Amino acid sequence: MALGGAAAPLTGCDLFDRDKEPPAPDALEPLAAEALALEARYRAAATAAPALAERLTPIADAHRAHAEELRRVIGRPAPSGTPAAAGSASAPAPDAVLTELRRAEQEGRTNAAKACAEAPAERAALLGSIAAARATHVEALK
Amino acid sequence: MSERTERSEGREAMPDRHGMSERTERSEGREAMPGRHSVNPTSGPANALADALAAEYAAIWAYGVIGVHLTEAARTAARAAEAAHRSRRDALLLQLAEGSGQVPADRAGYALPYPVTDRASALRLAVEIEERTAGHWRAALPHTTGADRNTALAALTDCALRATRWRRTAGVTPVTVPFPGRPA
Repeated sequence: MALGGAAAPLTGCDLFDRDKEPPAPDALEPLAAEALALEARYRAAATAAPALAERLTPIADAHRAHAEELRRVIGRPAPSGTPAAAGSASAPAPDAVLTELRRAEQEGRTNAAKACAEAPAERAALLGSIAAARATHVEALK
Repeated sequence: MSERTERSEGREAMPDRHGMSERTERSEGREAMPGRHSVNPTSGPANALADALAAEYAAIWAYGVIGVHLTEAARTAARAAEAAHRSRRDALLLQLAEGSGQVPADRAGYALPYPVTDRASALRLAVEIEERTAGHWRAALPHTTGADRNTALAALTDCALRATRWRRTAGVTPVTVPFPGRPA
């Protein structure tokens, strides 16, 4: 068995896949990745600004819970190369931390609402809760 | 029928648990507030929206009870919340009237889950009402598409936001829940 002939470039996951090409990525992969990135952002911010940790940690936990639910609904492990934390290394002022988190959260809310609007029925409720949760996070950061 | 009279003069009074539960169409009287699980997953869009309407009726009614125990900014917020629920109710009434299904009628009153006698219990009820109503809108999401789904999501989100603000007013932490509207 030749690994990767000239005509068939080797890709990551089709070595033992005898059926066909790997399935297309699930439409919720970006949202799942975003939830993990948001979690990481909040954890980093809580570390950088300990005074805010009490407010930020429950939100980080919520993003983690969203990521886990999305993973369960997707029904497949995360693709390799899932982005790692996007936290900033410096320790900015709390106000700047909150402003930046609000911006990211607002963007996440928009993405989740869009995903909800486009989702099949069986996914709509979860995505609706995630969109609503992200809206409440923006509120909680005020 | 006499209970309706009692209700009509009781709005500003401190509610007592027996005076607010009249329900003339059903023999047993007290109508519980719509719970979190009442939407049948196999029910159609009209049923889901009818359930949301029933939840909005209950929310509007509850804010009448809540508001009298609040003052100043919190009372203003309660009035604004009640107005928002009235807008959702009116939109649902219009929408459901266009269909062929049953449009549920408002009740004269609802049984509260616990006595609301002071600011703390009023705020607790406000949080609970918003979470319950959020749950009914959430349950409508799978039964809707397009603009109707966006409306349901906006309603769910508004309820979740109000629940968060009421938690903050009440000093409850955290002020958020991971999955607004999801049955516990």
